[in-house]
Amino acid sequence: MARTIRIGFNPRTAWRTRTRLLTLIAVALLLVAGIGPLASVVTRGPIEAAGFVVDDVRAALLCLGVLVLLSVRLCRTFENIDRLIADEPDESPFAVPGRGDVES
Amino acid sequence: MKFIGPVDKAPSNRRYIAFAGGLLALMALLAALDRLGVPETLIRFVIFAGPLIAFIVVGLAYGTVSPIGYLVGDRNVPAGLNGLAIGASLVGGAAFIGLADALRLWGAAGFLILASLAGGLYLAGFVFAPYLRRAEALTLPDYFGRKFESGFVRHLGALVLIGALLPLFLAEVEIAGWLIAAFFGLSLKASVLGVIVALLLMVLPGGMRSLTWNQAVQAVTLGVAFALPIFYFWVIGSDGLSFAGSVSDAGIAVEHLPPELQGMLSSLSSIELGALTVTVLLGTACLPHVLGRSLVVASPGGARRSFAWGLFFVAVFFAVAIAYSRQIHWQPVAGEPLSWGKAAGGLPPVLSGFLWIGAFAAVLSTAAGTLVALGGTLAHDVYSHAIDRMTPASRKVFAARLAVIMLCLLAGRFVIFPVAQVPNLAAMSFSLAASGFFPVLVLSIWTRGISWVAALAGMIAGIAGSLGYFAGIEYLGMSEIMGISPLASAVFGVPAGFLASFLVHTGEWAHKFSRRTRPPKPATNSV
Repeated sequence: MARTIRIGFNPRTAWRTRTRLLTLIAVALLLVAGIGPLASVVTRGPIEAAGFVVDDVRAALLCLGVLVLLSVRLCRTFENIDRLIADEPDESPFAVPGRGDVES
Repeated sequence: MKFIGPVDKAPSNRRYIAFAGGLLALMALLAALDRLGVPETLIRFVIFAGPLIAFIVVGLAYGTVSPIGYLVGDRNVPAGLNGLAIGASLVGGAAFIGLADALRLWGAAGFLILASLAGGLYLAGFVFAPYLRRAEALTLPDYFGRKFESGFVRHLGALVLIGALLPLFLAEVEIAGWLIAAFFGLSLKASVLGVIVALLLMVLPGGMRSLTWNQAVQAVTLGVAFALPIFYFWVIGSDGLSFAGSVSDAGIAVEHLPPELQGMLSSLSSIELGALTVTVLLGTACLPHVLGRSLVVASPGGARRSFAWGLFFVAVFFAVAIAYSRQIHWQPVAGEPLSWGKAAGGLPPVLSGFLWIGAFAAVLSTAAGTLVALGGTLAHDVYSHAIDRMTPASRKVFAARLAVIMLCLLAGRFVIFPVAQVPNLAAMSFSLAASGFFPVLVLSIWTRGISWVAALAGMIAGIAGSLGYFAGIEYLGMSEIMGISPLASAVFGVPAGFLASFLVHTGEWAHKFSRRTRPPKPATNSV
């Protein structure tokens, strides 16, 4: 990656910009995930799409599932970016870290 | 295990797996004793008391005198366990007891509210949490104080936090009092006193440190308790009386759900429902006791992962609640008090008693979470930044403990001698948190150059918009705008906050610009 860096290009700033873009995408996906239950509520009944009937329960479960999958996937992406920016150590989800930052 | 003072390492999460295993072993043992003819009352008492003793032991064991430990749990909490604590903080007693019934009563609109709660957690995790952690703040108002270097913003933030969390805390103590009164057949006074003693034992020694590990234990308890009955009914091949017949007694649900939310969501228009949904979404993202959990992890990435785990646990909880809501055939009698026989609801005594401790754990987790957030803010942002600015660290912990005790006494006073509709005020927490915090959080994290004046203006306008609408409808006889409930007043407060911040920021920018282009004064010329 170092070879591709041009003069005046700050990789740290570029990653920060990508972090912001990614967060915007995350928010946009949240709105998309909310459309299912919203549509079901607005129509006050089940919606049929491609032969698959989405009633209110399915829409809610779909929304919850999509949100969880999105958050897991996005976490991985953000972690990669964070590691590139700040060299954060890789942690498994239930790893017990050492003592945290000490306040001055 | 050290009993006092900071720890070098966070406790191992193997203890939580051991705790879950211990719970299941205790249940198996009690089920065997039940078969042997041991009285049901004794079995229910033991299954209730076992986890409760564990909560208290954890609270006492993780005591600390360090301000970092007391306010932010030493910042060494693993993301997965912090996620459990986030889930327990959000679920709360009202959801554990009433969600299955509420979903049945609300119909499709109820699922939209669930999606909003989950979406709020998602929003908090990706838009706010890592950046709050990066600021190294100790409380949410402390973040504002550090970011804008302003005492005004800090103190107003503390005021919003207290306004949003105090009614929630009072409501949870009231529900806990009802549960204990129903379970043991005690008076409300004695029950509330018991709840306060349990809360103090769990929270007072270690503040956020005790709370974090306690909430993880409570999350395990409430999760297992919530999931086991449906598993039991599935195994025995009967839908029985479902969850409603066991603990989700409508006597409590109707008592504690605000009247505006009882069974009327399905009759709302799309605009009214949309307003409520937006309020719940933004309010959940800004609830201080949930957002404050981003400050206890070791890194900003850990804060994000915590919320992802929290979302996972909450989604599983909601999915189980949806399953219960589809099973309920039992028609509850509103206002009828809880009784021992009804609480059994077709479940064996071990499961029935375990459901009660699950409900109690859910109530305690939210009550303790709000209590610690309130105590921390009163000690750090009010006492040591407004009253005694030279306070030493040890006195800050003492102040936090004193605040916790005072809040508990206040809760006892308000629950036993109620002076206001606490559930209504608690439902306003979402609106107030969203209106007071959302615009300023977004602007402070995602834009540059917002001054403390613009932030202050945004906060004041947000609170005024939200509380003004609420007070206008509730006390001044104003009619609702497009039928929007006062509980959804964040739809007015949040835009008002953004607008005020934007106007002040634009004014400041115009002032700066005019100063730059203004011709120099004659005096300057002469110099």
